[in-house]
Amino acid sequence: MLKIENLNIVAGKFRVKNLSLNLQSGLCHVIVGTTGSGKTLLLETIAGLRRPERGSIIFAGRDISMVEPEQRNISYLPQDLCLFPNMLVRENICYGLRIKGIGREEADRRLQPLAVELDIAHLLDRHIDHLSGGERHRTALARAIISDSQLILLDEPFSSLNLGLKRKLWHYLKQLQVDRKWTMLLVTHDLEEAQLLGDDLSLIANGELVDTGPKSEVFCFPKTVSAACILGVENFLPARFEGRSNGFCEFYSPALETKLAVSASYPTLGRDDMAETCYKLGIRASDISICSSDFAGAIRGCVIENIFKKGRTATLVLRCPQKNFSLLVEADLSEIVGRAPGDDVCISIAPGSVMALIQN
Amino acid sequence: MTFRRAGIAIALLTFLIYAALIASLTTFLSVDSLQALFSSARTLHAIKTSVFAATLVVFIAGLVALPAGFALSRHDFVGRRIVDTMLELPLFVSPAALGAMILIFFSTSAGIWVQNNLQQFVFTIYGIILAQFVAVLGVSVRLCKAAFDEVPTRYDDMARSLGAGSFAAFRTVVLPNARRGLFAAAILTWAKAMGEFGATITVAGTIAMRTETLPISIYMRLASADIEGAVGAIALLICVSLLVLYFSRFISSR
Repeated sequence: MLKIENLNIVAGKFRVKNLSLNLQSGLCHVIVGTTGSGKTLLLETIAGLRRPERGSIIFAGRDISMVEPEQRNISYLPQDLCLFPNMLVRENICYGLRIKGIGREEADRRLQPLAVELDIAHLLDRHIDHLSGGERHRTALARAIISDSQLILLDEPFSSLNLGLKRKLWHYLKQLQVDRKWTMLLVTHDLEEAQLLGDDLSLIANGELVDTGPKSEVFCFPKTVSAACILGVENFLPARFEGRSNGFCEFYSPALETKLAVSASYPTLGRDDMAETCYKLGIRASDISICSSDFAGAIRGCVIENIFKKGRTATLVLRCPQKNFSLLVEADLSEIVGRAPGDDVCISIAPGSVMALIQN
Repeated sequence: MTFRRAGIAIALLTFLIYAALIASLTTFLSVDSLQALFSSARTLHAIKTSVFAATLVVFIAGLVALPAGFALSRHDFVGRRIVDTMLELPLFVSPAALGAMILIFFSTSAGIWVQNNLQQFVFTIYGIILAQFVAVLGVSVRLCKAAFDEVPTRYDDMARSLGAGSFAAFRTVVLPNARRGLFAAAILTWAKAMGEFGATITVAGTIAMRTETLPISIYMRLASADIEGAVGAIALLICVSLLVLYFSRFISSR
């Protein structure tokens, strides 16, 4: 459907380097990256608002990298929404249809159900200036999806909405995308949004593609430290490969002064040069729990440095046995009753949750 | 005195300077002289000439300034800086010099050919229009550019990604969103053309009932020591201009 090959984009001193992506027809591809990683540049280039320095964008079989934006038939919802202030909500949404010569009746026929679903039917004759933030978002979303384009580009479409509305719109958009077999490219830094809407997932940092593939694979098995960083993994421990046993690879972590096991089927394992490869073990804060000292597999010698309570859970900062390392742990309040900074605790790590990451 | 108060006082002072100048007119203003002024065919002709020429100049300048201002606002092209600098030429060259340059052009072989085969400009109303056009064009393009600069280029981009060609994007999105600025540009252009004197008198001369605009009328009356007539014409110029400015502000605020 959309194939991007070795795309290079220059914007001032920043550049997107040799980016290649493959979007499959009828699926939602999500790009997750930190701010300033080049996500918006990429979308603008696909939409035709920027010329790439090098590389090709093949869309529906032809290279469109030099085609004018109006001839691309790609819908784009920019992060700043870019609603036209000289038009009513209705005129904004139907602008693309009007420009393409679609009659008022047909436009209305498409607009009505969409407006009802997005809960903006009562706003159609209002001016853009008289809308709230959420209403503006929904209007811009309606404008992007009303024309049933072959490809829809969404740049952080829900970033400034409250959580309740966000979740409602996620489900609505996902349903529409599946029903109408839209191909979508969505850019976000919200992992929940990426998990819910995405079929495929790409991670980008500093203008470079870090990882790409089916969502479950990229999410559950990050290969590099920077991929894990983007996916919100909190703890990274240097480790040395020790050997294999029973389908596991064993690593020694000097910080915890213990051995940790990673499934041998983890994508970064199974290579010949494992002993020479520089690994870091990635562990999510939610995969570590506080346990009693007689628990099998308990890791001893951690000291609580700080506790940050938030609702029913708390984030703990632990100092590792090797003093210059600390760990973040997410625990239920019930697990830490009576504990205070300075206390010694034992921790356990959920089996199968340790990631063997390559330092890049 | 605080900075805020000082600022307000100076703002009021600027008003007072002009108000005092206008008030001093009343010394020489009498009902009889005004009556005589309004009943004179020469005055009415001067008003008509001024309003007609200034209004036409706004439209002609607009035809050039809209596309030129848009191009300067949106596109980067070879010679953009030179064009941009040249727009200020009428501002720093005195209007009389500008008029003299037009006259000099019409004494070149190309200018003589234009005068003989296309249109006689020197000492005609066409000369007034040409002189005013040349005098206001730079400011007019600058103001149009500023009006288009106010409209984010994101709007053009968005319209194009929704399927509009570059002209359609200009017509449906950029132009409507720049309308306030463009309207203000038209009014200022009109006001500048109305008051234009130096270039106009150099090119079109001072022929009563033919090339006499209101500013030229004031000059001619002063030159012939007709103080009351000059004061009446000044009052008239002020009234016509303030009326138009007031109405245009009224319309644009709606």
